[in-house]
Amino acid sequence: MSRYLAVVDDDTSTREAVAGLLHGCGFASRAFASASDFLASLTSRMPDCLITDLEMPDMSGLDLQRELLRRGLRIRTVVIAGHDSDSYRKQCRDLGAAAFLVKPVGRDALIAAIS
Amino acid sequence: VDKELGLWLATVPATPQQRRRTFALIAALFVASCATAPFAKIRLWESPGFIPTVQAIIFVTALITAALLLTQFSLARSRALLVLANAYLFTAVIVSVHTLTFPGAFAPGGLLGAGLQTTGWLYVIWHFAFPAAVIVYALVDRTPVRASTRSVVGGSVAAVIALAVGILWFLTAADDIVPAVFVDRRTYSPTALYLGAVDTLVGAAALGLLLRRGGSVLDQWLAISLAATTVELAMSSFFSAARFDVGWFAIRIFSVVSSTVVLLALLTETTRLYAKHSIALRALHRERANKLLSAQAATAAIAHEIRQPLTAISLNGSAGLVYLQRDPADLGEVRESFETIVEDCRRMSGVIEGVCSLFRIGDLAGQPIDMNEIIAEVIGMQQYQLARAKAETHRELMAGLPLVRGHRAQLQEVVANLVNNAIEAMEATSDRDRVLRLKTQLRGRDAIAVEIQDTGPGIDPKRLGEIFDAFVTTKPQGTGLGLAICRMIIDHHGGELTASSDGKSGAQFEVVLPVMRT
Repeated sequence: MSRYLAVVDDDTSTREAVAGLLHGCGFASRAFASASDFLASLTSRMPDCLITDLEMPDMSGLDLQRELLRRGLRIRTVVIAGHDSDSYRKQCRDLGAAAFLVKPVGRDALIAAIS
Repeated sequence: VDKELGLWLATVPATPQQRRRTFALIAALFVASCATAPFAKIRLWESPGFIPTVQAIIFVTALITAALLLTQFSLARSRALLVLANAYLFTAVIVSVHTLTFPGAFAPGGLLGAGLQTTGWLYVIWHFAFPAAVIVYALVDRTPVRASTRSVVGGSVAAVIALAVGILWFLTAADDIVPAVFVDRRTYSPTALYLGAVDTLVGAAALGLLLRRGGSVLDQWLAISLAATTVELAMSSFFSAARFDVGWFAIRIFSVVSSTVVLLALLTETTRLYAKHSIALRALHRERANKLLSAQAATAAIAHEIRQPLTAISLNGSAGLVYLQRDPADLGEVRESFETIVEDCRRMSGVIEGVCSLFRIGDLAGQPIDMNEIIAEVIGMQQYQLARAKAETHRELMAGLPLVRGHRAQLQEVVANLVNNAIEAMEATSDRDRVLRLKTQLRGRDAIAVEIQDTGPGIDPKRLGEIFDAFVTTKPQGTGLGLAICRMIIDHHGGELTASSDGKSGAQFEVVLPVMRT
């Protein structure tokens, strides 16, 4: 079964760049501009892996992780942060994130984090 | 900074205002002596205790002046200061000897083996030496002394004391040989008149030299001191006929004036210089802290903003490579990746420009701030400027003013800038009171207003719109960045900074800030 990935980022260029690279590397992916859009999509299909931005308006990456836990959904999650912060790193880990990447993110780090 | 504020009293040039004051005070001294002259010969009561009292004052002031001048010498290494310091030291030593030998002060004939002529001659030498030393002070070359200051100070102090002791020894030993200045213990001889005239001339010459030079602040006060010495000598030579007449008492008063004036000047001017320096230093620190702050904030903002496009560029580049490595290469996808990269680069440079032009303060968390407190702090810091500008402060601060959220140092900078501008503007005001009015009040339910109003010349209403632009200034020496930065800071606090003026009776600046949400 080919893997399906979800990308959540409010910044269009980053979102499209992540999705574009994943596509080039042979992954099927779908991009969402907000956490709530992503949550709404879950009724139709569950992703194998979630790549989410940390800082977003309305619902942050942390909020999204909490919401998934609340719903009892376990999805491999990669968080991308705008800047490095020990406290965010720890909070994301505690909520079950598989990786915490800091922008600017390179290709190798991203591919390693999702596989 | 050093050039602007002047480092030493001896090198700070006198302002025209200080020079006018010097002439006025000298004129006052001459008027006082002329007013006394007709009554100079009236005999008053004999009071030998008067001399020790008055001369104790002269001794102490001369000694302190000498110490202060020696300190200035050891720092500035000016030959002229060394001469002047030793002139004061000589005065201190001679005056103490003069007091001890004064007949009737401590012993009927005076102490230290004094003869009839001893005190008279000591007086003549004392009043010759000081103006003569001032002439040397005025003419000596200004190159700094290179030798170790400690040995120069020590050597000159020892020489001065030795000289005074030598003079005393000679006068007591040669009492019968020296020309008589006193006929008896009360009455001057004709020789005293000639010697007094010589001293008066030397004093007048020194005074003239100092006034012609214009020179430093120290020179101004020294000139006043010499004027007092000169009228004292004129009084003693030409008007006072004997000890304990009106002229004789007047001489002592002029003597005290002469010895005190430079000390007072040294103390007040030093304190003033100190205040100026410390204010300048504080302003410098504040400015530096603020610059650092905005540099840090700008850096943080830039870093934060360019990470997004940088991520996109890096990932799009990787994607482009992936499409290139396919067999055959997917050139359509490669082109798309490159186009996106170019677009992201453009976006990134836009971010950098925007941040730089705004000194944007990334994430302004801020703290709760009471603007009344900020005003009190600023007024406290500007006390000296306010006093110097002779400006009154009227405060109408609302009790229980709601707090605002903000950056303390920045808001302080804004208020300090506005208060400073107001004070500077009012320096041109002479036809009405200089009043700085500070007012805080509620503006609607969600904001507070701080008003800063001055009674300066105001701002041309046509220029009100542009005064907040960077590099526009109405001051002769300003960079014009002050108000631009103020407005930027207030903008970042979600507030508004506005100015209003009728162009005649003053200007009013208003800072409106949102009340902190609880």
